[in-house]
Amino acid sequence: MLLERIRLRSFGCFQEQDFDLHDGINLIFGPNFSGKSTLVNAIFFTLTGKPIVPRVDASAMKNPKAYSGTAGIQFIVNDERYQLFRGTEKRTLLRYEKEDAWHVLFDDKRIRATESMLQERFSIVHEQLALTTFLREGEIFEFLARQSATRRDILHTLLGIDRLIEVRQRFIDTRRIARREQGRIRAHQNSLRYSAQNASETEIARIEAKLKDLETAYGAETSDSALVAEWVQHQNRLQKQLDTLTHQQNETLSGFNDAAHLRQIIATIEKAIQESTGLETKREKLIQQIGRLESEIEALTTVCNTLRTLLESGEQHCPTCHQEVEQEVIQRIVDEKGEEKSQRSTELETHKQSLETETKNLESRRELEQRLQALQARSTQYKQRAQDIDKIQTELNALSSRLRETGTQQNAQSLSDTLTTVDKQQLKSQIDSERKKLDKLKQEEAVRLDRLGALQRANLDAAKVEKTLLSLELACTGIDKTIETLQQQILKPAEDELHHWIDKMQLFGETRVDLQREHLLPSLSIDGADRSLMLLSGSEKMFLYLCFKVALARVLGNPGFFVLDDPTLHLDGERKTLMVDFIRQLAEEHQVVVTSYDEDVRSGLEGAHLIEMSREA
Amino acid sequence: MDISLENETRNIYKREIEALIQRDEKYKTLGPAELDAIVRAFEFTLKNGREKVRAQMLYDLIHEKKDS
Repeated sequence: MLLERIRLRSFGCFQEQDFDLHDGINLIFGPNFSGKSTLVNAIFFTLTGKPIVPRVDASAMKNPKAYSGTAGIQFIVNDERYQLFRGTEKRTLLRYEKEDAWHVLFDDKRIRATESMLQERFSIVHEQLALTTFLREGEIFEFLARQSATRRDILHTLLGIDRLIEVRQRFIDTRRIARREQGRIRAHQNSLRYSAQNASETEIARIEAKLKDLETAYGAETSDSALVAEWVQHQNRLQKQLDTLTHQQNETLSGFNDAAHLRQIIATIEKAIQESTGLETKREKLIQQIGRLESEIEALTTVCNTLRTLLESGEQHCPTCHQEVEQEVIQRIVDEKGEEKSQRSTELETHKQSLETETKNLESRRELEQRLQALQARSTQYKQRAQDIDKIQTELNALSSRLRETGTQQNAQSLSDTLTTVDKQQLKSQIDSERKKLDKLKQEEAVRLDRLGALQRANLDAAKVEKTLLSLELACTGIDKTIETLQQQILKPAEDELHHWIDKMQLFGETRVDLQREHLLPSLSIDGADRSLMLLSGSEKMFLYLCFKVALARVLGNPGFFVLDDPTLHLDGERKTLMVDFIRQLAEEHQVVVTSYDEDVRSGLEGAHLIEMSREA
Repeated sequence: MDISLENETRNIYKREIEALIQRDEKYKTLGPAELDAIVRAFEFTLKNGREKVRAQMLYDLIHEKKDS
């Protein structure tokens, strides 16, 4: 990229001004506050959309009197002429020249779209440009003052190592998922292994053989006699049921001579209950009478007490009715009332005794009712069982007669036949038992085979996850190796380039340079002794940093020019000459834009394209 | 990251993976399908960034790829 012109509209201190640039060295010369750094900033802003000084808002770069400002550059890339304009309000315009006319290639306000376009078309990346192409005022000291980890991060970003570290982290996260999956499958495998083992095939075969033998034996013996055996078996079963029912029936009649006795007792109780009808009514009447008597006695007591008090007081007239008090009459009344009270009290006692008797009768009746219910239930049960017994007895009789008819229940044969029947029963029972056992085993075996299939599938899954884990391990190791290779590919040429420039500038005499991987900064061994970077003098640091910048530009790529803002600041006469020499050597291969207010630099760079700035401009 | 550097990184990564498979005995069981899946996962993450690519996506990509 060759810069041909800087075009400013309401940008910084400029209203509307163009500055031509030439191949080789361009010296922007002028006093302080004449706009030298604004021109450097204009180039940087046009290419990146950001001010060269970090943490400054782009809108602050416009002319204070204008609504917005625009910076632009005209440049040549691969013999094609372009104009790139960037507004402080974020609009970007790119156009190219064809047949003496300008054609718009890109016109957009979106930051990402603009960044992508410039990267794809001209390989312009903000961070890379800042580190390899521009030297802004105070940059070296800021860089060196940073923590080593921060310096490393800056260079990691340039080399794309930060992105690789991110990718590696994602692979590590993915390995975590794979390990979880592996754990899950292993647990599944273990549970399946446990239930899939203990094959029952041998046991099944053994039982099947035994069953076959038993069935053969049973089949040989089973003919007409089998039916008889079944009957006998049934007869036995019925007899057993009959015995049980008879026993229960006897228990039902316990406490009674027989069923008639039970019925007689029930009838007696029923009669007694019937006779006791009206007990409740009678008791209710007694309670009412007792209540009435108690009230009367209480009233008589009150009257007697009042009259006695009157008599005892010796008053001539009644305090209530004011009538004359006749002592004898009142005494008689008191006596009569006392007698009446005595009669009522006797009557009350009689009633109370009657009530007690009636209450006891009522309780007895309730007990009788409960007993009646229980006996009636036993009676019903007895009747039901008697029916069942009759039924079983009838069936048993029928069966016995059938057996008698077939003549199998004859005394002469009874012993041997009974024995045979018992043997067959045992054989049948054994066959049934073995069949049940076999069915159970076969079911278990089916489940086991199913689990075995699942285990085989789990084993396949486990192998697959194992391979995935191995792939992820390889993926991570591959990234580590890639980072190493990238560092070697970039750092080694950078180191060579740095050596070249240190020799060229005759810096530090005999030096050995080592770009340490961790800090990615040169470590110097001067005359056989290690010398820390921070112990270099200010000018030595400046030259070393410039050489490092050029070395990085060589390996990372450079648009074809360098922009150095006041590189001789703080340098003495001898070092200024060295810097001028450095610029001249740099200009042998690149376009260089330098700003300075120093007359020594102006005279040192004689022949360079001079852009003179003044405060009036 | 510069596009040319991104392409270069991708090539370096593929070469490194191939070299590791050749060099290390434990990776010998991995075949072309696995290699292809790893490189695809790498490119996918490098291109889309950590925020957009979830670990489960990569797991599925590498785990399932072997079946194809």
